Amino acid sequence: MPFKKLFLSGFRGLIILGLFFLILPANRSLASDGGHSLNLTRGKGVYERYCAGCHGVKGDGRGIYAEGLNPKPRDFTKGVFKWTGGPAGSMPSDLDLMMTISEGVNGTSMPAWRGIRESDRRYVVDYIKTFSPRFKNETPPRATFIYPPPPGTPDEIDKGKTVYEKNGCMACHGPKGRADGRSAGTLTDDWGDAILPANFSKGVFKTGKEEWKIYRSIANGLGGTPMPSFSDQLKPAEIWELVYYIQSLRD
Amino acid sequence: MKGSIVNVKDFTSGIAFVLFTLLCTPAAVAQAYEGIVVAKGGELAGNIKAKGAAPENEVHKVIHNPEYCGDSISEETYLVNPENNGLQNTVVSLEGITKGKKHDPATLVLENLKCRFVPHVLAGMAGDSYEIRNGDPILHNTHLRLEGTTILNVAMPENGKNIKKPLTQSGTIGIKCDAHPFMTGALWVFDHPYFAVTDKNGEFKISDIPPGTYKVTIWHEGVPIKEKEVTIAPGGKTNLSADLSLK
Repeated sequence: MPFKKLFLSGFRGLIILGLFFLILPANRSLASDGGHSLNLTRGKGVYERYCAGCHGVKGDGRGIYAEGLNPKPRDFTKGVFKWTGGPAGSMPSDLDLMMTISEGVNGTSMPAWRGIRESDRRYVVDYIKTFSPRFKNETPPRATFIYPPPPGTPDEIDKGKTVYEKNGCMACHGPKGRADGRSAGTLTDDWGDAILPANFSKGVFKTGKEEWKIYRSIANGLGGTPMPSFSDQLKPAEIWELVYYIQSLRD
Repeated sequence: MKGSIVNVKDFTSGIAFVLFTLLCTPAAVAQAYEGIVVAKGGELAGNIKAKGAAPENEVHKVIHNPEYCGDSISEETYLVNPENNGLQNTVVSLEGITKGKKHDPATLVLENLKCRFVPHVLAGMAGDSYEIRNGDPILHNTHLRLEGTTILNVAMPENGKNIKKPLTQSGTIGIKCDAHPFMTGALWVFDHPYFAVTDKNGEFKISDIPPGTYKVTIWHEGVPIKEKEVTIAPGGKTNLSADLSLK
């Protein structure tokens, strides 16, 4: 085969191969999804208008309104996030960040930002990722698979109680989920700030009421906090039983 | 073939083309460690001692699980051998070495045992693995922070599974159990295999070092980091001893 022909056919094959690579990571990074392209200038503009007040112009969580907020606004420079698709300590995907921005954090000062354009929220995601070198050096792992929920029978709630007690959840969350476990008062986060365990009797979850998110918090843990990941230790059915038991602890 | 979107032959040669391109691209990571046969390597060995009396280890009241851990537990910051003043858990390492002895990937075992991390200080090379175990009948969690940022936090319930993970990045990893905050430890990860942790006599040995002059880092959790310079002669033995003031 003459070289030119080999090169050309190789090149055509390369384009076809390239198309596959374009398709594969599409759901990983929003940057290659649905016409969204990187626009850090726009992202910076939107961020400084809506986010910097609390999260700070430098993304360090020290905005002018940050003082007195509890919990504190996220400091993006550390590159650690509570809600990630993979286990605690792994990087969030663009979709994970997009979800937190769009839905807000229940029971805190972080509102749901669905009111601003979706494209702008995406630009903000890209911009937030410039605050920590972790986004350049590490990639988000495959998201933890969330198994379909079983029906949630009283029997499952009972089993959930056993899982709760056997696996030491009360160490922090307390025997009845009132955030009064023996270790509750000693917990700190990655910034060295005191942090409280979730109080299940209130029935308020930072991620909202959706059950799959409670499942995710148990399976993955919460990055930067004392809440560890249980996905290696518990079976999916046991995690679901825990979810139902935790929900039953609401006053 | 005509009319088909994907021409199989084109596709195969496309893969060949990509592989060829990849093979011709110089390795992107210039700083990666290179394992070679070290001719006339030298040895660095010595003894790290505590200067004067060691400070008392901090004692914590056990709030959670005192029925198992006991009412109080002392930290293991200063482990000084009363017979020879040897300081255990000091990490001695060479700096800036990019080529030297080959290193077979190892698995470091970190056990939750009697409400302590055993060993208290570990050292490994990026590419090694670590395995977390729990020998206690209570829930522990093993929380790893690389330079202060969470990289892993796994629950270790009673009769739980061992957790094995790779060490991907070099740096200092702080180990903590949030359920029992007095449980701490440290894991050093290097880009090369020239490091050692002192034993209960404060002794260490690093072998097969390519001859040359090196900066040596001496770290102990209770002391500011120390640096020294050593020269390794071909096939020779170099002694490095230090008395660390713990106050």
